[in-house]
Amino acid sequence: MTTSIREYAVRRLLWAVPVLALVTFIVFGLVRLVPGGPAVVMLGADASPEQLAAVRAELGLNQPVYVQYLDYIGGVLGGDFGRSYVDNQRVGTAIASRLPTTLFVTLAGFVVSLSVAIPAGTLSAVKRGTKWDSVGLTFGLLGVSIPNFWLGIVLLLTFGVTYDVLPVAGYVSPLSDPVEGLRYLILPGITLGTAMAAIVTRMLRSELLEELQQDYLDAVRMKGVSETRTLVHAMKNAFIPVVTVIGMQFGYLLGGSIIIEVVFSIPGMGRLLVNAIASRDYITLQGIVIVYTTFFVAVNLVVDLTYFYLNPKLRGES
Amino acid sequence: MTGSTGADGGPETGTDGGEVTGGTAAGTDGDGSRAVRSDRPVVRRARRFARRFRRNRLATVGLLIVAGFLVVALFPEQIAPRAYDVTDVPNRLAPPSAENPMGTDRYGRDIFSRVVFGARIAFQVAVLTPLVAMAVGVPIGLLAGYYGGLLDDVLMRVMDSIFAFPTILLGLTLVAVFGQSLTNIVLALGVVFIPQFARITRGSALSVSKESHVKVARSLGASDARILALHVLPFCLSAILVQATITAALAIILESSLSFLGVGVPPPRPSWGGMLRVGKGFVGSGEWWYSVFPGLAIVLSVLGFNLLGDGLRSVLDPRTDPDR
Repeated sequence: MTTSIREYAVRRLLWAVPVLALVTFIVFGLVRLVPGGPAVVMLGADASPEQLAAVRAELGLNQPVYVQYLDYIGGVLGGDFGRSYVDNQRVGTAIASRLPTTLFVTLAGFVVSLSVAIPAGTLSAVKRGTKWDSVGLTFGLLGVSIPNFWLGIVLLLTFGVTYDVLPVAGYVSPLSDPVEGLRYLILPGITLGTAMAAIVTRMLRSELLEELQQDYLDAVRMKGVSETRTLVHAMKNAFIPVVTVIGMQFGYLLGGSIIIEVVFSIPGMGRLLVNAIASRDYITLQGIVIVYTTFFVAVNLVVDLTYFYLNPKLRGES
Repeated sequence: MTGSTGADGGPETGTDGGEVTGGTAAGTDGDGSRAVRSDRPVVRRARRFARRFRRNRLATVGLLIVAGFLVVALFPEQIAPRAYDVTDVPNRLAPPSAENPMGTDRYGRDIFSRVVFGARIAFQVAVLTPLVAMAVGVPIGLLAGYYGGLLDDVLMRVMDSIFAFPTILLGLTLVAVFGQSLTNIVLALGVVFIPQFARITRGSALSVSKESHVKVARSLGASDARILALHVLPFCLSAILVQATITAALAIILESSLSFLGVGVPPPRPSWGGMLRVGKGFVGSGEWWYSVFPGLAIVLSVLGFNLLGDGLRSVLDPRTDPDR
């Protein structure tokens, strides 16, 4: 029954490989379903058949799809995502220069959400039935009902027009200028993190409530342990299922950053993606989607491993 | 608040398999009054459902919001003071007034009327998306949960790979590839939510398949199709219904997000997200009403579905209620 963490990690990694293969294949296949195919997109609808044929041959589009796919994946594994049909830029370079920005935005949302959700969820559970709890529950409900981009717009209205405290558009890398960089990340972080904060607050509250009713806590109290430390005991156990949700939410934050980047004019992968869609630049689109999903799958993998590590029921003797 | 509802908290759906669970479900409820009121198990359960639902104040509020929203979506012509595309350029970007309660947009169109007409798209998305997702996800979940083994592994791995896309990313990609139209958006969002329905149905089907009434049906010679349709599916319905309500809320948010990014329902049909897309451009110049009111419409409708979903969950499926 008991499995070592290494064994589990290997099994889980082997599971991620076919998922990623399938994901990339789906994306690749989808882009090939575009009416007329990439050649028409490049040359426009009034291109002559000879021109189209020439471009198709040059891009290898007249080979069977699986050959094209294997070619592409071979390139991607070596960091080559091909060249954009629109501006002939290297897609890999464009993504690499924007990836850190997107990750910082996602991280900002993550930090905001946890620093709100952990106190809010704990308070709500410990003070169950009081006004603190009502605040927590209301937040849990409103937070998931407000679309993040609208929250961003409201923040823009508040801070951009009424107060002139925080920057409302643009981006400065926290690596080059930590103070200014963080100032630029505050509003995007709040905008992105609120929904996740609400979800985690709700979940933490209900898990903690359940945990607080367990008998073992009475045993802990009987030993003369203080209420605060008893709570820490309960929180440790309540956190196990919450970690899974937090991890999944990290992936959704990554998706959410697309829209946040558009709201706050942040030059990250999300903006690149939206521009690629607008200009029908499918090679870029395909590359970005693959990078996003790879991160998403990787995060889920880490989450599963953490879950496994935290949960004594699953962990064997080390 | 739903204390110890262990025994009757399970599958409560008025369908054929009723005889088997009818006994256990009634077990924990009052016995005396039952003889007087109970006609058939279906009626009895429906009544208990209504009673519990009414007692849940937030759920009732949610139901009222959704009902109001439905009325607006069905009769926008009667409610909106003007058509959504009547322009009045001299009166452009007017702040809220008695005549234009939510102000006017850049072409002088009445924002209130456009918000009212926008409810139609939002409601269509909210209703159709869960249906599309269910149509595919529920059969997959039933098969995976009932047969298990290799089929389960393969189906769930495919579901995992759909799940491996962040929802907004998958929606964006699908609409970008297949083109912008209401149909494509509903289909794309439907695909996005297939895995959730498959997982939830699989979970319920897996546990129901082990119950004795399924074994009895099988030993009596019922075909797998019949067992799935009559003896497994009914017990998955409450979980599916809760998921559908929550999916409706998410679908409204996703549709407005896509419209905000410029890949939503094409103009001139007003969608709330599309209005926000344009309204965002007027944030800096102070025309706040342009982006505030369509956003409030989204929040209110999403809140309605979320409240309804929470309420349904605590009534139908207390085991998964986060507020037990």
